[in-house]
Amino acid sequence: MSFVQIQTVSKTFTKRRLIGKDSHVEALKNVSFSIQEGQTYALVGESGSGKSTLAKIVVGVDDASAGQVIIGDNAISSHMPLHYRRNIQMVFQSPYASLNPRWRVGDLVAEPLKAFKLINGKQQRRDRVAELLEQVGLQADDAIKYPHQFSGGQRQRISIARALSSSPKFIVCDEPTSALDVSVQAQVLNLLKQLQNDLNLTYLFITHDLAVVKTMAHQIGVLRQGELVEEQPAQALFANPQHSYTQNLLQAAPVLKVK
Amino acid sequence: MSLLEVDQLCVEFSTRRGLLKALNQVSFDLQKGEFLGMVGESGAGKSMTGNAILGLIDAPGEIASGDIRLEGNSIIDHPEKIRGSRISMIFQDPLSSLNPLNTIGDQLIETIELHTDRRGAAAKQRAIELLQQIDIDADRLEAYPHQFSGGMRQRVVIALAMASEPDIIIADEPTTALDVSVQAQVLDLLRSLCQAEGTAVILITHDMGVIGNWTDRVGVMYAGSLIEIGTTEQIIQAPRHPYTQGLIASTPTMAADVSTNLYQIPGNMPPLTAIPEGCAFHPRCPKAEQQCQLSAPPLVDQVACHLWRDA
Repeated sequence: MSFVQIQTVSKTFTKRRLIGKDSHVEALKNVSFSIQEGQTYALVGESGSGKSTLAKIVVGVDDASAGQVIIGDNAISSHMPLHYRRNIQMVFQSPYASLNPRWRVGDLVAEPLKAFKLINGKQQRRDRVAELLEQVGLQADDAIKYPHQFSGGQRQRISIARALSSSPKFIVCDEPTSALDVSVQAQVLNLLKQLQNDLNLTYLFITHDLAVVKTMAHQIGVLRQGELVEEQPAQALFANPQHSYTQNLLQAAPVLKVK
Repeated sequence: MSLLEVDQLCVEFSTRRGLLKALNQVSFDLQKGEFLGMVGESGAGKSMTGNAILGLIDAPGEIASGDIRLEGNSIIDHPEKIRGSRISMIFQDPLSSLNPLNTIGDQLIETIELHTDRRGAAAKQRAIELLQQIDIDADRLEAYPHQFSGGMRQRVVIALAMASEPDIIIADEPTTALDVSVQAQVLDLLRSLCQAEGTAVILITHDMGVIGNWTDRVGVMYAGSLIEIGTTEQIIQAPRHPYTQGLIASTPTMAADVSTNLYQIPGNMPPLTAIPEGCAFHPRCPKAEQQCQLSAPPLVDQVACHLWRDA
């Protein structure tokens, strides 16, 4: 059964003018797709194609102008009840910008537990944080350190631990490895896959790197100027891209060919 | 004779926490018209190598030993004589390398007048030629950088780098800020222009895909050392150093799918303040032997690894 359903979502931004007509930008036009439980849907597109606008609507930070997003049985909007939100988490692109440098790692990871009032006892919270840190390959003692004491890959692990802390079913990963070096990228991608297997997580994976998509995605959607121009299972899309834009993207992608 | 020779180059920074070796005995050469890639992780010393060649290392850093020769003449004492004229550069972010207050025509003409004999109308004519080479209409000479897209701006930066008719262009991550399809256009353009003019390029990148598709030869850097160098074919199809092998195995390729895990190099690159004794890679190396902990392997026969010495 599909766990996440995006139904004819459109988003129009309006620029109000003091004199003359308002101008409109259609950032998303009738985008529809669904994601099966426990699978990864990769959304591919260039800058300005509307990937991040869609991500904001899917996690309920922004509202669609038309259409709706349903996750599980819940309709998503920016004013949905708090207990809907704990099932949805996000991992951001830059682990340098998304972790507050003045907070200890333990507090960062415990924040969703407090915000959603999931675990109230201090000691219990500390135990859960330790468990989460170990789950992402860090150590329980790391909770007392600050983000600057970690490398880029380790920081992204902290972001992942924070996303996992409210036991979500669905995680939006917005370019989670594009700020990382290749050898570290491999570590983070493998971790995300392993967590998906262990916890039956559903991912919406946003990226522009087609080689990363190939190793992560079950289903792929190609977004261009706000329209979903092609959607196929991963194998089929790479073997037989239908839309000319997808073909161009595949051709331009600097993919390493190892014999 | 090689166009450029970098010979046993060491760059050191004296900091409060001790001496930091940013580059350790880096040696390589560059032939006329060649496209050389420099690849490695952040902090490996790729950009530092480019900056050292251009004489852009500021205090507390200094070239501690070694030499850089352009057509046999040392350039480390007077880098300003070749910087911008015989060796020019392209940086990552095209917006910050262009002056937002001047038209691109003014910027091109200024560069041409500074570095060549052309003046006035002749310089303007040359600017128009350069724009045509990068597929931008001559009437855009009057346009400002903000009126161009990211890819067009980076093409203008390429035109600026070509304006002085240099022997070498050092391109430091020139396409990291661009989309994939634009990246392909920009690199294709750089390559074809340089081939036409016989200009050599040092392309600094962390992207193995870019290396595989656009370079003739590749140097691989790790923790301030050049650990392997060879033709692109050799490095990608038959890497010898265990780090290069790991780097290539961990790069996602089209051969993989969801069910396969990527190869992971265990651990992280050490900070330059704490480079391990012996081979800098040995704590992460799956094949490390006792001698790897004892002495640092020099670059011999294009690879710096003890395991290849014995074989």
